[in-house]
Order: sequence, then C-alpha cells, then structure tokens
Amino acid sequence: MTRIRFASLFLVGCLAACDGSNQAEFGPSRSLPKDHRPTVWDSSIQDRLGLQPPASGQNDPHDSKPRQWSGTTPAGWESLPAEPARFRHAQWKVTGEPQTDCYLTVGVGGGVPGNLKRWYSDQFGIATVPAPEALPVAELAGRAGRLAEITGTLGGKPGQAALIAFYHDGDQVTSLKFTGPESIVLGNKDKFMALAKSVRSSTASADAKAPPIEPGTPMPASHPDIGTAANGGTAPPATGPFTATIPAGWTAKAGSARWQHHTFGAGGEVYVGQLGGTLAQNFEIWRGEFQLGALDDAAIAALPKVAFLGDDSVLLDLAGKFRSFTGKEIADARVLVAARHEAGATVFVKLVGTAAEVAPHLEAFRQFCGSLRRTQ
Amino acid sequence: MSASSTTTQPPSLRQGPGNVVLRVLASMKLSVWLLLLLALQTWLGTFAQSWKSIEDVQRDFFESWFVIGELPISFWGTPLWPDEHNQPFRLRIPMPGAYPVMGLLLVNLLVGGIWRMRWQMRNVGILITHFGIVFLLAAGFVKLSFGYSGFLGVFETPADGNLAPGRVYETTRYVSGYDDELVLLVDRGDSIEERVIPEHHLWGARNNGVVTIRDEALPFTLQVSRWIDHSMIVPKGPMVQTLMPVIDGVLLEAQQWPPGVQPQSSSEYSGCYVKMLPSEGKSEAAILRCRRLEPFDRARYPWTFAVKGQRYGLELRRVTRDLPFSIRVDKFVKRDHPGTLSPMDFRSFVTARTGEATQEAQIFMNNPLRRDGFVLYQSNWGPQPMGGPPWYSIFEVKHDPSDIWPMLACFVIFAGLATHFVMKLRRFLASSTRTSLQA
Repeated sequence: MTRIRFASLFLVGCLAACDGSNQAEFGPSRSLPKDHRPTVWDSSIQDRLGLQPPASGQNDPHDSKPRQWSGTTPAGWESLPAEPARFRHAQWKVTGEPQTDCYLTVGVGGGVPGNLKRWYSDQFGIATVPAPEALPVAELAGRAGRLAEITGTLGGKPGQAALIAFYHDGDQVTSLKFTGPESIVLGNKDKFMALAKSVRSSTASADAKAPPIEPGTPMPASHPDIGTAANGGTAPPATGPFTATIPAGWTAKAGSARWQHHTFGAGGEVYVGQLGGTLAQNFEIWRGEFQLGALDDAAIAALPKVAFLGDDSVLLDLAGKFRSFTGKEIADARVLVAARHEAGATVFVKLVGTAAEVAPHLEAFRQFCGSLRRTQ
Repeated sequence: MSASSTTTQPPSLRQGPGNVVLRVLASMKLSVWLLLLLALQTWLGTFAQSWKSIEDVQRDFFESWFVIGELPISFWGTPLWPDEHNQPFRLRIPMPGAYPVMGLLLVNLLVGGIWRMRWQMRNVGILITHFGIVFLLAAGFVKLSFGYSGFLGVFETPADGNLAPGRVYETTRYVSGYDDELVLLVDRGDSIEERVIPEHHLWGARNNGVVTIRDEALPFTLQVSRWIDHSMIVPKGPMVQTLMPVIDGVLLEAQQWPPGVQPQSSSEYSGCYVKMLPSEGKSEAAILRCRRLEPFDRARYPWTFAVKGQRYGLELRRVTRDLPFSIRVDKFVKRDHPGTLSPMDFRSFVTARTGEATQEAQIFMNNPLRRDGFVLYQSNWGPQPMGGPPWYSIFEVKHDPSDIWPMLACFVIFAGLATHFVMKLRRFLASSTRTSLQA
C-alpha cells in the first residue's frame, strides 16, 4: 500500500512538473554586425505585425509603400475619413442611417477560414461556417473575391445583416464590410456591390497634386510602368520584368496576375507571358485553339516579323473560331502572338479579341511589342 | 526482428533476478506489439491531418511521449453521431507517443536481436541485419536530438551587376519553417546583440499562465502571457466581443480553421502578450506575433523600448540560424513543360564562400550541396507563379550529424540479409532435403 501511495505521489509530481515552467531565461548573447541583421527600430504596428497590405498582383515583397484607398461613393451614401489605426482604410455610411457602418480593412491575418469563422460564428453566432468556394463571387478593388451575406443577431441586436466582400493574399484578408439593420443593408446591396467594385488603392505620393500621366506618354527607360496611372490611381497590374509604352485606348487590367495585362474594346485583351517549350511547341498549342495543326520550322521561319524586346520576332496571326484551353470561345476571333525563344522558354505577347475589335488595334499592338523592354 | 523463443535459452536468461524483465524485453511478442503501435500511430496520425497541420501531427504523434489519438467513427462515408458541423464522433484513444515506442523497440532489438541471440556463425547474417536496424534507429535519434533545418532564400545575381536595394544576393541566414523563438535585440550601435529563448520555454504562458523572464544583466523583467500557438491579429471593431486585451487597436486571437479545412503549418504563427517591467519607470505592453519571414526579406521589425538610455527590441520570429559559409546564386535556370508554367527542371548555380575560399556548385533535384556538415537541397523558386527575372531560389538547409548514417545502415542491413540468404542457400544445396527433392 505504501508503495502505491509513493508511486501515486511521484506520478502526481511528474505531471505537475509537466505543466510548463513559469520562469525562462534568455540564452547567451551573440553579437552580429549591424548590416547582418537590418533592424527597423520604432517600426509601426502595421510593419511589426505584418499588417501592411501586400502590393497588388506583385510577388516582390519589397514594394510596400503606404497606400491610400478610395471608392466611388454610392448615391445616398456618404464617405467618412479613413482611420487606419482602427484598420478602417476607407469608410462610408448610408446618409441619415447612423446605425449603418461600411469600412474597408486591408490585409488582416487569419486567412479566409479564420475570418469567415469570426464573421459567422463569433459575431453572428452562426455555428455552420460556409466553405469559401460555396460563397458567391464578388469583385473587390479589381480583384476576384467572394461575398458573405449574413443575417441574424449582431452585437445583441436582432434583425441585423452584414455584406462582406473579400479577397485574400495568402493568409491576409482584405474585406469591405457593410453592417446595419437587415432591411437597410439588403436594400443597399446593389450599391454596396458597385462600391466594392470601385474600390482602388493608390500609392501615397509626395507630390499629390501632380497631374495624371496620360497613357502613351513616352517616359524615360527607368520610369516605372505608367499603364495604371491613367485612371487616376487604379490598382496597378503586374508589370513583371517588363516596361512598355501603353497605347491609347488600352486599359490596364487591375489585379491581374498576368504581366502587362491590358484590355480594349468590349472584350479584347493583350498580355505578356512566358511558357516552357520551344516556339514550335507553343505555336502548336495556339494554333490548336483554332483547330489548326502544327507548323514546321520552315513555316515558322517564314512567318512575318515584328519588333519585340528589342529584336525581330515572329508574328502569328490567326483568325476564325477560337476556343481556348480555359474554355473561352469567340466565334469570329482574331489572335496575334509575337513570340521568341529565350533561355529555354517562349516569351510572347498575345492579343485576343473579335476580328472587328482587333482590326483597329493592329498598329497599337506592333507599337506595344516594339516598346517592350526587360527591366531585369 | 528479435529472435524467437527456443527451447534452449542462453545462460543469461536462464538464471538471475532480471530474468522476467529480460524475457519480456527480448520477446518477439513485444516486437510485434511495438510495430502494431507504430502502425496505429501512423494510421491515427494520418486521420489527424484532417483537423491539424502536418507540423502539429508530427509533434503530437511522433515527437512525444504520450498522445491521445482520435478515430473518426463513420460508416460507409456517413458520419456516426455527428456534431453540429456534421463531423463524425471521434473516439479518443490514449496511447504512447513515438518516443517510448521507438526506445523500447531499440531495447528490444539490442536485448533480443543482438545480446540474447546466439553468436554463432550460422546467425551472423541476422546479427549484422539487427546491427543495421539499430544503426538506423540511432541515426533517427541523433537527427532528432542534434539535427535542425530551415530555408534559405536568395535572389539570382543580375548578370549586369546592378543589385537592387532590399534584395538579398548573398547570405548565410536561414530560417526554420515552423519553429519560433523569442529574441531580445540590444542596439549596440555598430552591432546588434541577440539573445533568444526557444518557444517551448514559453509554453507555460498558454491559457492563463505567465512566464517571467529575468536576467541580472538586464534592467527590466519581462512577463509573457496568453501564449497562442496559432494566432491571428484582429482589429478591434465595435462588433468584436473579446476578453483579450486590446493594444494599439488590435488584439490576439487563436486562429481557428473550419471543419473540413486542413490547417497549414506554414500559415500558423505563435503570438503572445508581453509586458516589460523596468527596474525604474513605467511598464509597457505589446502584442508580439511571429510574422511571415520570407527568407529573402532581410529587415526586422521588433517592438522597441528603451530603458536607462539603452534601446532594446523584442521580436517573435521563426528560428533563425547562420551557415558557416555564404551562398550566392550566380544563375537560376527553370525549364517548364511546353505550353505551361509547370517546371520540368529548376536548378541553381551557386557559389559558396567562406572568407576567400569559394566553391562553385550546381544544386538541383537529388543533387544537393554538402559542405561543412550542412546539406542544401533545391527546394523552391520564385516569384510564383509567373517566375522571373528577377528569380530567387529557395534551398532547404539541413544540419544532421547522422546525415549518411541511414545510407550506411541500409548497406549493413543489405549485407546482413545477403549473408543470411547465401548461407541458407549453401546449407540447402548441401542438405539431404535437396537430394531427396531431386529424387
């Protein structure tokens, strides 16, 4: 019996010891040269906790200039001053309805699942949280996202609703949230969706009064791409390692992951890309979109030439019934592809649209290809 | 595995006070039970990946002394006794973790497979094989105890020599993929003094615990509280109901993943509240959260405070180490499958440098760089998904004192099995059984 008691006490002691110490000590010090550990002292809470919104469409994390956010205020709404310290990067409310609240929050952590859980369960007390892909698609700040529509009791008040349009970059979620009485919120849904679509960011400039740069304006070679400045602060598209002069009438496609992605007309688009494989292999794929067969090397060599990346490249000009591998179909299409083979990959500019839309942009396409340069 | 019981026991097991214990430790039954337990751990660990990240599963099941496995009960795809999220009832099964199981297996092999076995010529193949398995287990133990790993990222050096500011083109630094540490930075002007505490020393601050950090050399005390393994920062809006302290408009919450969504280790970061109590003056408080530290992102953003004119910084970060040599990527090459951005091959042409001594190497799949006890594998590339230039290359860095032991152990096991097979064959060829079969 004594042995059992002793063993029990020993076991209890061991378990208690496993509960984690409440004392800790720093290890030995290690001195490193200052430039070995570049340190931003007295950094803002946004920097410190990684809350800075990522650069739209960019993968380079070093572009983290502060951004200002704005949107087209719907009729019957009013814009309020932003409160970045409260993570309200832009704010609105329905005029005369003080219980409504609409604000943009940029780059909050927790990922989509964590934030959905917070909105549905923690704030509305709804146990079942939908999967993100089950929510309807919505556009926010030129980015494809989702819309959460929640009704119920919020903050102890029944009959409330929330519309939340959001997108994410990794585990950082950017959302436009509109809350208030259910009848008002749902009655303003169309205006909310239009507002979400119109939200844009612009990098804060020391010279905020400088006029917008018109597209097509010749700029120094080292100047950043200006395609996005034309609309007075549109979210910049990914330029990738390229600069180009953007023809008049082309509009930068905000939020696109493609490089130098621009649109024209009703549905025409042009972008720069890079794919694995040889010219012949990729031409076979592009011709396959028109149900055409492959070209041999002689036929490729005989194709017309176009200036592209500072040198002559071949130009593929296709017309007819187009069906892309992503399912896009155009009955009377025209596709132009300027392409060259570099370092084991095919670099190209591809223009897609209806034949009628493309025809007026042939010269613009040539000029765009001719102006393209690598920045790296 | 271990030798089976025979009618003639070795002298050491026939007599002596430890007879029973030795019999148990040497038994084949124990081997079978231990292997079944390992299989059960693996099975339940696989299930657990539905609601835990891989890193958590590895820590709970395979780097632990004890674990409670959970078995979801369902019939033909239909959850039985589902909860409000329609997730099946999980039967909780307490069981030993991998540490005691693997430890006992080692003892079982040593006692039953080597020490207890008759050291005769006819058993030499079995003995060699058991030595090989023991060697393999020892390699795992050494790796677990003394090995560590992380990721090193570096941009390709531009051919024209124009280095962009803010990018890392040559570095010694690599960061852990999952483990965190609290680091105190002391600003010494031309240098930075670093002192770290591994995260597991702070786990006492989970739930309502408080961990106090005192040091005679420091003019302040730190109190760490509300430690959250997988945390998220939440801005305090009017609708956010919380008991957590709000500092600078934000608060810390546990990151929760909805049912059916597998948590991602790479998106899980620890966080805590910290209070600095100076020996004189006013205390200060802050929220710390381990932030995503891209391997190529050099700058640090610590919580800064000053005591007695000395500037300090406090930061939660992924465990950060330095190689004894630097790595520079002279060229990065990625080849894709035709018509896609799916890589067929990607490789880095690197220069490793220690002082003036340099070594050029090519790192690609199954061709790592081995140098000074470290192994660098080609792990990833960026920017994704479109690629560069500018390219950057990510290497997995491993320091494992038992790096080649598993390979050697496999050779030993092969030699043992081959020896045993050849000896068996020779005995068969010389036996009367063969003669009678031929007849």
